[in-house]
Amino acid sequence: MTIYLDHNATTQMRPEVWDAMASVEFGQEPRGNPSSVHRSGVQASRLVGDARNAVAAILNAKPGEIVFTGGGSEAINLALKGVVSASPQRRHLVSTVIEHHAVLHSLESLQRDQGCSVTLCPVDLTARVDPATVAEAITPETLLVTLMYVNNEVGTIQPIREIGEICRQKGVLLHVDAVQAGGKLPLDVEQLNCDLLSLSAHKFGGPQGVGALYVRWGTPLSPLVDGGPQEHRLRAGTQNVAGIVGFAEALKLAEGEREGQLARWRDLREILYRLPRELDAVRVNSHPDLTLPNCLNMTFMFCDGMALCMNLSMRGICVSTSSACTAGDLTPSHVLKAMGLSDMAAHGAIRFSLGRFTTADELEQTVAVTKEIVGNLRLITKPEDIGKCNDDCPCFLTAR
Amino acid sequence: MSQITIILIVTPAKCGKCYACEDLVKRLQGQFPDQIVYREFTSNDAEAEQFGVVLPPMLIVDDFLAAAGNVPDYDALAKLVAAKLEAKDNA
Repeated sequence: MTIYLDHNATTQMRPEVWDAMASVEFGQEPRGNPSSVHRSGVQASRLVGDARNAVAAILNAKPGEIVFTGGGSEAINLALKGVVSASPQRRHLVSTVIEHHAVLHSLESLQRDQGCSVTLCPVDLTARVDPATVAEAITPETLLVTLMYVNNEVGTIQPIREIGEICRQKGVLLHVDAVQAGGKLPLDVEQLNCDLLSLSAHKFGGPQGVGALYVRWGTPLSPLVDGGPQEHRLRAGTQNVAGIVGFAEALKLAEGEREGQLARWRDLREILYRLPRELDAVRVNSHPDLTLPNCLNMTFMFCDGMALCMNLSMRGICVSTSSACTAGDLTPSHVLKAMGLSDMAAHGAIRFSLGRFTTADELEQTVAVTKEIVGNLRLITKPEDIGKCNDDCPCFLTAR
Repeated sequence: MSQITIILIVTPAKCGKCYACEDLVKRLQGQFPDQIVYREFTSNDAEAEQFGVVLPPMLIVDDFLAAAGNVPDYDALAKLVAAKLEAKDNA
């Protein structure tokens, strides 16, 4: 039996979503191409339209402002590259050092290929960016600010609304990477003061391979993919009808349960807080109040996070390290490093992310197994190799 | 007398680290005679799949992954083996 605690990576599709998608694929009417004029095509077009209406309602947007994509990364790429392509007069972009690689690598591409300049704002030890820092980074040449709503590694929630107000005042576009926030935080684009907002279905119980980009009416945007006139001429290609239906169904369900789910995660997270209380030298990297309660990132000093992650996997518990693993070469998390953690502390980090199906019993088992593995890892780890930390390494262990 | 199982997962064409891990296990078998059951797979073998992402050489002591992609320190590994055997003796 697997205990899955990696819901920030992806979370299981909900049965109701599967049913909705199955009714598209295996319903009485053959699933048509939404661009076709016959009855099957018209029905497919209606299904996509209904999904678009539902998503728009949740975002407090107009249906014509929703563009379905092939995932969150595609939505982000479309937002950033599409705006730059459509606005040649300004070439400066502002973001933060802790963004997802879909943003950071898109910005690198725009620097390299489009001659853009980019300012990456620092974050504090909670991984929050100060709105004043963003305001200072904006110049007359600034076209767009792009920020993540919720950080994927530590769960920090950014002050999007305040930064959105600053962007409005300065006449700068704001793109919000809401991939980790979908179904967990309010997505009202008027409240958030944003012009573009990216979502990914598989983060809130929908299918993988479907995303959406909110584009405020009048925002200059060029398509990345040329072809047919689908998605308001912003994303050519036949729509993934079942996927789009699943996206909307999942978002509706998650939105309806949002408040109750957050309260449940807050209670469940308390079980994981036993780890820093019952084990020595555990640093809590997720702030207790400024983060989504489904995410808890901890550093187990004198342990290699990857070894801990793999040992947990062997015992049937799926978690994530904060480190990217490329060909066996471990690179410390850019997020934890930006928060001020040493390489050693970042290497010992593990992310537990809870989902809709996570139970207290699963977390109790996780705590017990983690304690056992950490004890064994500390037997074999040489302190001079890993785990030593600078004296000024920040953590929230003492704050609790 | 209790026993533990040590599994070593190596690359199909063994690398230097794989040979070094084999040597470590031989030394452990000398230090803990008749108490170590040794099994070796390559990363292509089906048996390796149960351990998830495979970063050979991987050294697994009973159900504990002691090393992945590196050669562990002999003294530390011997300490772990001794602790595991003692826990079994006391169980």
